[in-house]
Amino acid sequence: MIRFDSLAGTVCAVTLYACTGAVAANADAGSAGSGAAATKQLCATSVDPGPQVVRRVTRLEYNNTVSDLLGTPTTIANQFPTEEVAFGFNNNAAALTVSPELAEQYLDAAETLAKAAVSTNLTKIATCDPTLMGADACAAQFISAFGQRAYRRPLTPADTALLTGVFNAGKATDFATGVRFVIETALQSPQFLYRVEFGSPPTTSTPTVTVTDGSSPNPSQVVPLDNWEMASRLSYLIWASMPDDQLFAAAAAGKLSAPADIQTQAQRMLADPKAHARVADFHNQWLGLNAVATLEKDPAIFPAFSPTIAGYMLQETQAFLDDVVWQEQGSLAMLFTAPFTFVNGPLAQYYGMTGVTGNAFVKAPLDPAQRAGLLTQGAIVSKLAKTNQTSPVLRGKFVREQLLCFTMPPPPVGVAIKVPDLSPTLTTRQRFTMHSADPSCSACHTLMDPIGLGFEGFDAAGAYRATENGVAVDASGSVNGAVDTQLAGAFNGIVDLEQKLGESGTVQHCVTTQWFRYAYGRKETTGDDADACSMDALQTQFAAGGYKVQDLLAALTQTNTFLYRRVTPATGTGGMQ
Amino acid sequence: MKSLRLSRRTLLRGAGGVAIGLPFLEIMMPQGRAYAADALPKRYINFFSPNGTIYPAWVPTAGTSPTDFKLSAILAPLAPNQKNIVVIDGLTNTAATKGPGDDHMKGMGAMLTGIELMAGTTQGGAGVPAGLAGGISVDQVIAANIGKTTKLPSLELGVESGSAGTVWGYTSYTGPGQALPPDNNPASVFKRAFSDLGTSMSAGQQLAAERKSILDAVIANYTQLNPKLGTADRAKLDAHLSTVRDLETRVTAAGAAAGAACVKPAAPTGDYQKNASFPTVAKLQMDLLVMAMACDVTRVASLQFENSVGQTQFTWLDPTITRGHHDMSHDADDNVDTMAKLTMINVWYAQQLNYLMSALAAIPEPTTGRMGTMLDNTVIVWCNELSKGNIHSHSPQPFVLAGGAGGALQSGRFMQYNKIPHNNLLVSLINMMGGTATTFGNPAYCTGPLQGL
Repeated sequence: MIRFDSLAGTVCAVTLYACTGAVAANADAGSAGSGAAATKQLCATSVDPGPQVVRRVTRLEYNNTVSDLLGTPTTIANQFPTEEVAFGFNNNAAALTVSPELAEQYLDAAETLAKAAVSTNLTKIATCDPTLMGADACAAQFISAFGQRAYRRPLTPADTALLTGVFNAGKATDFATGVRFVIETALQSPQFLYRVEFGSPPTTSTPTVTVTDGSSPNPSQVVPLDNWEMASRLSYLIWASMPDDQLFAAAAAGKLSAPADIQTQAQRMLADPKAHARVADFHNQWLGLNAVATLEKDPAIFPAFSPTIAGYMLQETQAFLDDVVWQEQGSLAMLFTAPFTFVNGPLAQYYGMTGVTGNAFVKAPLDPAQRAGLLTQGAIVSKLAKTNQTSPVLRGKFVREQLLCFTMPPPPVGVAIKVPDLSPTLTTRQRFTMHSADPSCSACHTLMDPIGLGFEGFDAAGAYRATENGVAVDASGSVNGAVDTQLAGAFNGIVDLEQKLGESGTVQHCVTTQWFRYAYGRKETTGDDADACSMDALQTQFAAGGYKVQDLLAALTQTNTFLYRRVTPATGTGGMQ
Repeated sequence: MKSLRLSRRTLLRGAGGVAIGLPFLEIMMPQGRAYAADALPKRYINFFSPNGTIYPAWVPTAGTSPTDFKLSAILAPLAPNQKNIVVIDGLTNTAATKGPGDDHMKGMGAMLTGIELMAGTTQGGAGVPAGLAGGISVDQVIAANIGKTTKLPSLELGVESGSAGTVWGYTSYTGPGQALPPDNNPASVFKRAFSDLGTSMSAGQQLAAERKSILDAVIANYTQLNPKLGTADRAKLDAHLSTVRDLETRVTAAGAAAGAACVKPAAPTGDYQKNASFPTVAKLQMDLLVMAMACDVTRVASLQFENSVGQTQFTWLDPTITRGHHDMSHDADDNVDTMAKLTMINVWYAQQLNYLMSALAAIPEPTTGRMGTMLDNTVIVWCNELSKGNIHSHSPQPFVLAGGAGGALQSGRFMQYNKIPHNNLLVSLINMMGGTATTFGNPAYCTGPLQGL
């Protein structure tokens, strides 16, 4: 059914059922962990990491890994096709597939990188001298050392035989060609492109539980990771790259089994600047920041907005997030309530802030009556807007979905959805009134628009505004239908909303959930099962330190999901079962 | 004339003593013999523009017979090529009315596959969440037929296409959920298609031999490892292995030779992501596409303008078009200004199709029983994921075919149908390109080839 709104031409649909049902279904998202007695019982008696599919490196991880492996920084993977996105992130293991173009790009990148490595860096990569040692002996040494780093574990005899065969094919030309062939082969191999895990054999001192894996008809054993596999889990989780020498040494020494040893390594790694890029990638995807750099606005309405300003807005938000997480060692609350941001001269001028000049970004205090934290930043408010006007729907939907992990039911199929036309006299609030006045629209839009209308103090291009069309802006809003008492009810403006979000258990749980999906490359299972134990553990650790993001990162290395794996029987040479 | 070589494994027929002044088929075929239709190098191109059309401005005026029709406002730019097109009205994308996903998603996924979307997690503006398309697309069936001997079985080009990772972003699939991403960067298309063109024969053979050694080892590596894996992991790595096997076949098999019109293009540069670059990138990509066909780098291609729900601002047509294409496509029929602007956008797309057709028509090539042009041996399919943007309908889908399909398509016609599932058209396309299909996509929406086409 289609309803035409006489005031503004808005078209709505009868969706009462969808949204009233959804409020009930999403109510659990408001509690800080499952908390159910059955879960506590299960977690006390069972160790189950949940299902996991083999993980392929993303473009970010490929770039970092080959940079570390070959000793030359590169962004060669930026030319690869974009990963498929599932559950909000581009690293969902089940969703990632290899297209013919990607296979071709892996070949192309391997050739380019290997060629560059042997022409500029041969003595660093193959440290022995083939003229002194003999080509074969030097090759054996190179294959063993390089192979172990490329495969992130010691080579098996079969690995060595295979790479030696490839080396020999190239050796006919010269030693460097043999090395190049080995590198090209390794960079296209499953041991490099995937994190292939088997787990370590169970011992009497490790818990083993038989679970039924939904992805396999056979029961699975739960086993701990082996030390090499754990080194890679840690390095990809925290650095988005291969293990460094210290991690490899710890793996070789068997020092990556005990959770306390793993925690020690995690803390060391978090203190390394390499961790910043990983957290930044999470934020880019969670908050949709990748879209900011290419934002365009109607120049007739926003003449001061430009691609340069859009780029600065993105830099502002990225610098802010980095500062809160790392320099401030900040909490989730600080993300929303920090009284500062990062601006350079042109962006400060755009925002109407004084005292900042030059192109370098500096930390600057905010007018607390207008701005605070993440949500008042230009990147967020202008991303969540149309080219020519604000969008209370997009802004409200963003808060609901990204910050509260509430799945908004969509309008039904066949409905035309249209933004109310611009008006020289009406405010956005007035133009959107029908969404909330018409019951056929309001069942859903009451969950989004009243939040989004609280953002009206910011125009579609990120500037603060006190008036719209000559009328004073009304930035009052309301979070409707929330069970979380920290969150529910009226607020006035984004700064006020952020105070509530910063203390909200729903937000804390949601951020934990988003990190779970990103860190483990899969969606959490639902119900009182394996992942409920890992989620509870994460929530507890996150809360213990006052919801510091760094604590959550460390806690991600201590869950059943991280420490163990379900092992399904080998499929065997007979092929797929 | 300088000899050009297509790929490292190419044996340039006619190289050496033979002057390559004629299209290659003439070189290979005894003079004076009639050309057999199945020996012609047929070519196929998807040509996609999004967000629906403006039907009253799109549909031609029918005359007394299918060959007698008057072009509409949107199709007017095709006037120089009217005898080379078939306008098809009245088909329904039936699969897009079923299954999960919103109407853009379903329309996009079923457009060239004729089958419902897979289940998945992408939530569109309506409907239940969905995944990627549920089957192979028609161009890939064709590529499996006619793309075997070329360096690339198919080439997917984009013009500022977005939404990668979701069904909104792809037109082409090698199988359920196996999307072929369009490449938006002319520089990278150039590298893929032409970087080895013109290298010496021995260097090419050497590279092919190298790649064979290395890919053999890579394949052996997967073959050793995969049986040790559990079911789910094995499925992932087996799928990867099969793409590596295909890759090895491609980079080591013998290729075809270039036609006389093959000239290595200049390497493109410039920003290909800015809204203002859109028309420049469109022309660059079409030029690369035409040359890739002239050089026989590939015989199958997709050209994807924007993506489903694309938000390109067509400011170069009219500076007052400041809203995104998809936003505008939601405006009501009585919004005269928006309807005029959306018509203008679709006129622009018709101009691009005309440009592409004319570029192909400028390349002489033998066709059935006569000397013709590359366009005569090609079929281009202009498709859209929707019929009418503001109600997201799937019928009548606005299809335009262009070219002669090597004598298999009688062009210069306006064909009218009454709610026939477009799967039938997809069957006909496969057969025009030398296939023998009787059904395609979900067989529930297919009764065989499109009658009368």
